[in-house]
Amino acid sequence: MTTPPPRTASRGFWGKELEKNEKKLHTARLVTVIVFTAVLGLVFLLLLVLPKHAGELSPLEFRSLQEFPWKTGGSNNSAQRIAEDVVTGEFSAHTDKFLEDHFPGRKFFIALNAYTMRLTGRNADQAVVRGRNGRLYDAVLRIDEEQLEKNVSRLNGFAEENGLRMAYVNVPTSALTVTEELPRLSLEYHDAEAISFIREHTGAYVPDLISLFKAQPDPGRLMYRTDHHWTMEGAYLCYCDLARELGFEAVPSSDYNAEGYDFYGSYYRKAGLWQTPPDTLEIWRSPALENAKVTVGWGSSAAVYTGVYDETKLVPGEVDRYAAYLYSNNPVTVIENPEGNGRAVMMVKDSFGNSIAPLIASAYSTVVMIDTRYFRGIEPAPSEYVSEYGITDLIVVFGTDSSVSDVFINFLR
Amino acid sequence: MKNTIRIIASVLLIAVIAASFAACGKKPAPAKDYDINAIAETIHKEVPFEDPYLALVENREFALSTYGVDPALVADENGQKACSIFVSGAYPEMIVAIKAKDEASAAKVMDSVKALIETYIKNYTTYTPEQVAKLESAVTETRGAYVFAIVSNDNSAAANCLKGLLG
Repeated sequence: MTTPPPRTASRGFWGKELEKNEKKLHTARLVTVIVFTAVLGLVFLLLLVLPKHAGELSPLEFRSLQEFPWKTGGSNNSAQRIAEDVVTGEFSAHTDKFLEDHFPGRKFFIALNAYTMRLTGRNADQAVVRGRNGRLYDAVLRIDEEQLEKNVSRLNGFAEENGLRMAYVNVPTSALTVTEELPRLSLEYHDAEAISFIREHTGAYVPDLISLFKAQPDPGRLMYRTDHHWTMEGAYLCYCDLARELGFEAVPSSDYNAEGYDFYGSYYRKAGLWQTPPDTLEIWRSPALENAKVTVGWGSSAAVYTGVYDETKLVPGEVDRYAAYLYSNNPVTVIENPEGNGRAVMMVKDSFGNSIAPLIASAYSTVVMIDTRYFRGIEPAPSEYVSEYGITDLIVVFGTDSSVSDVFINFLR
Repeated sequence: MKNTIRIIASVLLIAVIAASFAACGKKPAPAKDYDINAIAETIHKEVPFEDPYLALVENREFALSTYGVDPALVADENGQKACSIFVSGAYPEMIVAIKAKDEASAAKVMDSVKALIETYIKNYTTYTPEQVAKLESAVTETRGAYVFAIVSNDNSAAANCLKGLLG
């Protein structure tokens, strides 16, 4: 920057203009420094005084917020442990995460980012794709054919070894069935390829849920807008299809009393679009389901309940309403319906199975639900349940994500 | 005065850089022979676990397969695979103690165990996120051909216990 000429009477008009601009520049710099420092100071002050929820479950995101960096050692928060963490870098990693989780106005900034991404069209390759009319979609899933073949092969083997008639329900993502609310620019989904692959590699009945759902007057009612699961209406449609194929009598939908609850699902927690209206999660009640005996676990650690719904998940303020179906995900759950048809079925499932299982239990006398994702190797072998309950049918209920992932299917023995 | 400040700042910078290299210069502990069964049992008794029914998987080959560990990488001891694995039926808690055939095999075994912990994190994130913190702070240690992993209700206590047992 050049030095201005000395302030003498001969500077004239341009000299005075230069002096005025210098003053403006100096003022602008001063204001910038003051504002910048004030904002930093305000953020620091808010970080200090605002209440912390370190280690608590965030109801919005359904995950535990980072604990204070000096309290991450459980029973060992000694100065020595903290000093070791400083040297290894763990302390700074915990501090970063703590600041991320407790930054003032965090919820606002997440939403600002999410809505800006949506308005500027940066949407198609995000973890949650923002559709129209408040609908959220899953990201495109890569189909791991090798893992899919392993899973299908083990399921085929298990059915054959135990003499079971099998049906394989692969629930496609809503992007395949609720297409009119997809954003204008979206990537191609591959769930249909996974379902075709399953059909080609098994003799089991594989319902065509994509065609079935798309043929309905309002496919949007069959899958949640803020969650990856199907609604009770979607599960019921599949249940009726299975009843026709497996030869059991489906209970008419008019026999159930439906109750609705506000529900924000998995997509909502990831999307940051906090203004999205909630879904309605439906609980379908019937006298048979209210009296069903549900055993979660096995042996001396088993918990026994009456009724297929966990009422504690339906109270106001409860975050994970979907867990009301059959007490969330457990390795083994047995439903016994004294008013059933005398038959027993095994369901190898992920969380999609939880909402259709009460419907299936309305018909069958016994439903044994197996979730191999939570098996650890000390559970009774699933084939023991086949013998114990005289199971004749096997219904697999997986979302595409589980069909193509390692769900520890080798535990199915 | 300016020069003094510059010298002090340089010295402080050198000290900080030297301290950051301290972790890189850590020498690995010398290899010893460990009784993995006794170590696993002691951890089971001394470390708090949420599941009171944490149990040893008796079938060792089966236990290894559940962790995606190739049995060919694991040493044989008294006619069976040298491993002691405790699992929980209700939580992602575990005690894993494996003697691999050699250090190279131990590295592959540890990769399998860590991959499993990552899968558990994915499974538990959506449904019981309060279990995820245990998995993210899992204790994992390789000593020569030995591989140890613990996921408990107090991983700091688990780390101290393991450190005491390994010496």
